[in-house]
Amino acid sequence: MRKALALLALGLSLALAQGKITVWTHFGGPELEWLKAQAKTFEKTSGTKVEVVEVPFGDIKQKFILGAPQGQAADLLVSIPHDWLGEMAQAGVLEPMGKYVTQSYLADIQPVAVEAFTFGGRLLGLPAFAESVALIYNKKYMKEPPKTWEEFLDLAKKLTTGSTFGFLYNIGDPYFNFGFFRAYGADNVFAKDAKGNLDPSKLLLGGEVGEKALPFIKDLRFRYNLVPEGVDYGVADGAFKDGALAMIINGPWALGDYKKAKIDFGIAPFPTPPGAKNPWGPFLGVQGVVVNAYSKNKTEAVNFAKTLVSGKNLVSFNQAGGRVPVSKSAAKTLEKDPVVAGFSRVFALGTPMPNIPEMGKVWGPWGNAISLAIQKPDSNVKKIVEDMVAEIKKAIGR
Amino acid sequence: MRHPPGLKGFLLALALLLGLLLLSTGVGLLAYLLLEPHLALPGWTILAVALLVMVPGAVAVGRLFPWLTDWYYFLPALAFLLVFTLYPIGLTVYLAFTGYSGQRNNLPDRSTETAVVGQEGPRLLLEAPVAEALRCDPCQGEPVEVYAEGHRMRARIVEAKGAEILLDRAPPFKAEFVAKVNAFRFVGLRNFAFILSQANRALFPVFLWNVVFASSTVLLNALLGLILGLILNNKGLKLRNFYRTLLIVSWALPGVITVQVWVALLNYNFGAINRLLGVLGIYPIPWLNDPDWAKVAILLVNLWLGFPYMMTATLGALSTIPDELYEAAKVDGATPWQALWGITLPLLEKPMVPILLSSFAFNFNNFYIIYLLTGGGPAQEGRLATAQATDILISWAYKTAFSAEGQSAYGLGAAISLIIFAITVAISLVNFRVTGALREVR
Repeated sequence: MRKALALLALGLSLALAQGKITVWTHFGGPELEWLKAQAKTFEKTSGTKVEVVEVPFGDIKQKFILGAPQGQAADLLVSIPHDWLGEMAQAGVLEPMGKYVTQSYLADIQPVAVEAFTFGGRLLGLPAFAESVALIYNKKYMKEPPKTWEEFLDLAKKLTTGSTFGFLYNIGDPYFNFGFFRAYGADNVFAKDAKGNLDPSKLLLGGEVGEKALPFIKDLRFRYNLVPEGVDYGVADGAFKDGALAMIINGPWALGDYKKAKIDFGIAPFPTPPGAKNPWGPFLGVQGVVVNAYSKNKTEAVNFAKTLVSGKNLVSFNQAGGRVPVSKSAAKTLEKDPVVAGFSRVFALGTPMPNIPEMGKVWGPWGNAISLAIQKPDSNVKKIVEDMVAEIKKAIGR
Repeated sequence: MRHPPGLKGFLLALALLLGLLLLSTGVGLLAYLLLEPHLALPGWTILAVALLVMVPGAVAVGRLFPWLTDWYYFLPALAFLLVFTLYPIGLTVYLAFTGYSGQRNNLPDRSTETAVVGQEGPRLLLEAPVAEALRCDPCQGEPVEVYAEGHRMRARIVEAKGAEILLDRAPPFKAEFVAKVNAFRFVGLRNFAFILSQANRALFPVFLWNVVFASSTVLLNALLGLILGLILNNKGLKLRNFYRTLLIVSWALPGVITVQVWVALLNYNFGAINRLLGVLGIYPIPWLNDPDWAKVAILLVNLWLGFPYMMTATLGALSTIPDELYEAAKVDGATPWQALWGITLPLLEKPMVPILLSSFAFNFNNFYIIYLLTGGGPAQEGRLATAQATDILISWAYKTAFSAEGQSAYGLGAAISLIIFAITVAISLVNFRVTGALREVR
């Protein structure tokens, strides 16, 4: 009797586990269609059923961390941004991928993307596409994007009239502002230790960097009168869609809407801000596919993940949604695409967003400092920077 | 059969019921833990076994104490109370004294996964030096998980040297990988110390604004509600049902949506309100960008959202005042003004005080208006990023636990909620004391 029960239970669990994998995705529209088509092809070639479930982007991480150890999460996620990697790996839910991938696969991926998906020396996911912010300009107002800060300022001031805006962006958000911190001397948010890993005890945003970058951001509002109070992502994005804005800092996720609004746009790096020693360079975000460490069907999940990020499929993915692939072969095929070409130039200036969990303690105080600096013309930048550094250090040291 | 009298009977019944519940759950858990390694059992088997024990158990206990059978109606409520009220409270108190977070969650850290290349009893040879591969220093005493396809086992490192580790027990299978477990620990009062050490930049100013916010909201809403209620109660007013419907609209619409509309209306450069003020020749007001004006904006929007409730309550209370009183006052030659102060307001006090108190309690933890309208902002100098100009205690706790501290600092969040709990209890006690005193005077 006991044996029969055991066999029954075993059979049941096998039937449940084998022949089916679940995918959680935050894709929508044509990208979701692409994923579903991929799933169907994979079903045919491997015999494994693939179920694609839509989960809102903001819920994926928390749901996955809490659900995976209980066996209540998807076998793979398509896709996660690489800055979630450290937290998810430490929470124990990501399967290290090093043992599944070949050297030739790795050689086809841009090194910066591999770096982004490596945490603690282990590859924890397969990178698929990259994104960053760039200066997006409306060709109605200019043939060529401004190359220098002076050109930029003249143009932006001239185009800021009663009915049009020269330059707007989500000025309160540190993600959109990192490029200026990088220009004024911060290679990244944290410095690297001797082994090349980010060291959370070495914050680079404070001191001279912050004391130069924050006044510049403040000047965009109060001295050059470009970005007035009340401008947030929605206002800037809406103005660009309406054709009332000449230049915006935004990323590839917005381009679909701009195309729909029939805006003829171009992509360029932001010019080097005044007095900066380095060129402007944004945070580079890489999104990739990760596999559940508690998956009952790991082999099939890994196989599906590998198919998704193959060079050929990333090309069709780009055709679906316009994302910029990190595979070298795919990028070569798409060389002529203006979006891919434009962003590839910007990516070269950027640096990957830190993927260590300590980064989570930086965003809040950092954003707070930027909001404080742009609140009034006489804000005490030195004190704001000191407070920010103290708060971040205290939280990280806890 | 007679029920034992008084408190003793109540406590005895409660103890018997609790004993029954805990015993059956305990048996269920035990059975699951014993059988699980051999059979792949789903989690609900615990519940099934518990029920299998509880039903005969209830019959048996009912034979011994026949009067208890009446109390069995109480059993489901008691079970739900235990699971959904007492357990979370107990867990919160416990977590407040630990460093539990999304990363320190007692699960193996996959970014330390290291292949095992040699195994001899409890001694494992890893593919890389231990301290580097498992990122531990010192490694002695660190909990680890050893696993292979289909097997997993927890152990503790007794000794680590080079690439070799000695575990406190031998894995009964061929180990393939080992990973460090991010255990969360008991940290004593450290969470509270962390909060209090920054109290000047968070707890105190936030608490002050929280009290000001809740009390002024109640006062403003009650005042406007009262005035409108008195006006609408006037039977001589034409179209008063129409006005009443119109005034209730802001209450009937879902606040989650209307508050976001207010955000757009109050925008400094692009909002309708400042444009309107501009037409009137008034300088634009930084409604959501200035620490002080943002507080005004919160109070005004909350007034718009909340006065219909007070107005409806006033109308309801007014309808209970008999007309004869006013007729008698008229006969005695009282002016309408005297009737208002002598009859209406004193008679409104009794029904309105509980409403005001509950409204205060609701607004004290009114998370959504803060979160949706300003998100706690704008930033204010000398404050933490989690405790900005319009943050109240609950939004500060939310930001600390779920956004600032690397997303999921459950231990710290639990500590803050305990502090909020203490504050709320204190305020409620004061409230009861004050209103109780009022009643005695009357």
